[in-house]
Amino acid sequence: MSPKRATARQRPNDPTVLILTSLASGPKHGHALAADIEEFAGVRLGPGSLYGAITRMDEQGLIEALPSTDRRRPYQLTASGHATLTEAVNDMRHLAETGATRLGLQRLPAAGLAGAQ
Amino acid sequence: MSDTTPSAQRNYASYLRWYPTSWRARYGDELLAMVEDTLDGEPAPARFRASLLWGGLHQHVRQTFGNPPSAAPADRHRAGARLVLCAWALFVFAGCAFAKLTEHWQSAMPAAHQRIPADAYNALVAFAGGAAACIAAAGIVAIPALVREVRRSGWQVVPRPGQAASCAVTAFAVATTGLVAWAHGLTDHQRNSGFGAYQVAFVAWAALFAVVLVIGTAVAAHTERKLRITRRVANVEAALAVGVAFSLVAMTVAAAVWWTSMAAHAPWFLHGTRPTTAASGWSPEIAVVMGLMLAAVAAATTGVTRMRSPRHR
Repeated sequence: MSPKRATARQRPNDPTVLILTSLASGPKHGHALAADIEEFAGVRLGPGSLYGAITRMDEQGLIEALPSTDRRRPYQLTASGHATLTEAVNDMRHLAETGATRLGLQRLPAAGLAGAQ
Repeated sequence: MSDTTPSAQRNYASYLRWYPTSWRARYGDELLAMVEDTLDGEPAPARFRASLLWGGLHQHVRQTFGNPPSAAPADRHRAGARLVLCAWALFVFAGCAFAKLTEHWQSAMPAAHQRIPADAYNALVAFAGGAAACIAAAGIVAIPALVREVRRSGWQVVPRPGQAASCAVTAFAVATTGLVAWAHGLTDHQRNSGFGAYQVAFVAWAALFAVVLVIGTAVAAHTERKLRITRRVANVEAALAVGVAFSLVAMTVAAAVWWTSMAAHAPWFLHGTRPTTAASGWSPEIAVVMGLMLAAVAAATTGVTRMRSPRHR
């Protein structure tokens, strides 16, 4: 799947976007991922949904497992995952800015997300 | 990270039984660790268990029909062919229902209008035979690979439901023999909604038939996935799958032509009323059957499409 196509299907509550966003702050294992996602997005991913997404993203090369001494295997973003998240965030930013403009709300402050790594 | 009691660990581990063995080998330990951390020794809520059940079934479907992005063309062909096999099984069930619903239709149709529905019906039967021949041929070309795999690793290549499939086929054979013997002693009227006990037995037989189809197809698909077949055999299977998919489309069109023709010239047959009785051409039973046929066509088309391009889910 090309990053462009992946982004087109993603929405803010898509498990892929949530997991990529969580891993953007550093490697995490399954339980830490679920807890972080619930904290920043208010979305409680079930274990089946979480590991279904992890399996798919691992196969797509968006995330990779790190060596671990116990069963709690942490994952981190790959370069491809970082690019996919960047594109998704930029798309969502564009959507949010369009909505804000049309509602007459204050524009979002610019941030150097695009291309940042 | 909690201290989980051994008994709780045992219970939690049982939640993972829905996942494929190969998936558990890769992700099972870390998923179990996550489950233990989340539940902290408490029993799992129903929603939590449902998530694991759904996740496990989803992984089975992905492993049987999906392809990783890096899948080789031969693997794509095989995954697509397995989906076509499942589509065919669904169509077989729909086709049998169609055959039952349309029994003796010729006697209801005026002779002057028989040609089109007769041609459509004959085409449907011919394509059904062609599709069955393709499925049989696909099974035959896979036999050498099955024999090699059994010699290499024993009968474990056939999944555990294989035993259930054997039992279901045996029960189905016995039930069919009994039902046919019973039917021979009944009149046409008794066989066609005039005798409650026979109707109940027929519905039970149809349910058993569906079970046999589901288990048999699942066993065949899982077994095929484990075989190490050559690219040439994979290509043959793909070509046969395309033939099956085409047959399903042709049969669905033929069934639609037959229905349209009957609705126009003998609508009373669709309602089981006397000839020349005023009736609409709409039949809920035929509509349900056509819906199943269309679902099978959609699945077969998806399978053929996946042969051409990688799938990711």
